[in-house]
Amino acid sequence: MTEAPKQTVAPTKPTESDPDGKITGVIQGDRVCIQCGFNLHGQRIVRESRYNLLIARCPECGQAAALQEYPLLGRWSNRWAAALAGLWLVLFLVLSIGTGFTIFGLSVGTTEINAEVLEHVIASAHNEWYLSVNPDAKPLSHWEPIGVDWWESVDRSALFAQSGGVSEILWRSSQSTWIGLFFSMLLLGSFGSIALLGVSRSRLMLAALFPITVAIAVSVLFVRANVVYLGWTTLRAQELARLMIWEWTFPSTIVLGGVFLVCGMLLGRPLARLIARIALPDRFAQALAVLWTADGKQPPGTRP
Amino acid sequence: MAPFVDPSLNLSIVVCPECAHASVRRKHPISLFWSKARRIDTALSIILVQTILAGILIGLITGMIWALADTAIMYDQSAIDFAIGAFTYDDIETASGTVIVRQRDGLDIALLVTAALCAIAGVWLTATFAHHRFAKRWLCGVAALFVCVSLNWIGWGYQSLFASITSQPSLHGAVRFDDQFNAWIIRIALLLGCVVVMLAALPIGLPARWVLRIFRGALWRKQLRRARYAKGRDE
Repeated sequence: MTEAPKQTVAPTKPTESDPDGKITGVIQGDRVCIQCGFNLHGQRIVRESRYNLLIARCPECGQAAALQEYPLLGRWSNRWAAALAGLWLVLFLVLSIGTGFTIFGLSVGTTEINAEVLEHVIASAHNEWYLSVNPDAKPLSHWEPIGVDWWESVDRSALFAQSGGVSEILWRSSQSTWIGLFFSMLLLGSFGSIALLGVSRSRLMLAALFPITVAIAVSVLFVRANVVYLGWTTLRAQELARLMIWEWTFPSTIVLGGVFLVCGMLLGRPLARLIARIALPDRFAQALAVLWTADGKQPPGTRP
Repeated sequence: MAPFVDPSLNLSIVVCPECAHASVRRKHPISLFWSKARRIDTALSIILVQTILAGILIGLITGMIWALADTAIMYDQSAIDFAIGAFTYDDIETASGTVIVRQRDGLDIALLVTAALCAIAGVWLTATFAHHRFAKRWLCGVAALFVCVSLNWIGWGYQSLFASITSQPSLHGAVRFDDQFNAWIIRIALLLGCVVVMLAALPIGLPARWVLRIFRGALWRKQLRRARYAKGRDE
């Protein structure tokens, strides 16, 4: 014989009584009436005098809800529960890794967009030097290889400043990829916070660390692989421009992605509750009562 | 042991013949799971439909307001002159000396489409948000439109802030408060006109709400009949 879980029952004064019998507690979890579907959250649990059963009455239709039930004898429910839990874990991992790769992809996008200006500056400077050395030669295109000697002798910080510097990177990024980063991370964070309903806020922050770690790991591998690749090939303005701004674009995009993800995780549940409150009448909102009870709040349409 | 239904509790009860301990026979959790899933599905479907409708209506109305305000600025006119003039079909000369043939621009149709969208939004707010008080749902609707027509201030604020922090010379020319403010005032004036049209649709919204309520009631009674039939068949 199983009784209602202890964490869903709040004790009341033993002297209180009800027409059905002695009051033993209050339902604090999410439990719907089997007759009309009304959420019984906050209803009194009574020790019924005739059969000595624990029951709660639905305030809407008067149907008694039994809290003392037979345990399940079949094994399939446990098997299904284990399979669903495994599937859920796999989905969570896929989503987290996907979030990490989204941040990484947007970091690459940010680098590409910002490298365009610097690429032109490098190529122009190289062209000027080339024409000064070879006055009769034709101007070089942007795709022509750049000599290592020239690259090592040139003032790179001056080239970077000429392209607009850090403020230009911040401006161009905030007008392009960071807008996508903001909305995608806010959406994924909100989804994550609703998917992990049983998890407290402090643990949610820990869950946010996983995709950020994935993004950092993939970014480090990507940058290292590209640096190694540059050692094997001829230098071009595009690759050199990327190499110069990686140290700005990757960390800033990953940090911002993490901040937006955490914001999404913090705002997700209140936002979902607000949307449910606005769009649904109380009768329908009770089906989503778990959004409230997971954070210890009173679901709509229930009586304390 | 066969259970019996206690008339006072309306529960299927099994009493042990040895120790007289009573237990309640419950439905299988899988069937309970599906009934709960159906309720969640219904709630999520309503949220989805309402969110899509809200997105479409708010997006279209604010889009029309932005486009009409831009056209009014192009004609150097206030929102009221612009709205009245759209239906006069006269060629007019703007302050900058440009002669405009109005009927070719389709402004009358654009204004009528905006009014129709506002009327639909008014009916929708009245009929489907009946669970909120009148003032609350209208304030929320108008506030959502107000935020959408005022989005330019976010971009302007960001540009100004960024330009002042980084002293980017290329941005200073683009940030002009007067232009932003004038365009915003025209949009707000058009928005007020939209709110009036939305409120005018109230007499259509109220019967629509009753129709919706009757339809929901019929659906609920049908479900209840089915549930009672299934319960009777089981017993």
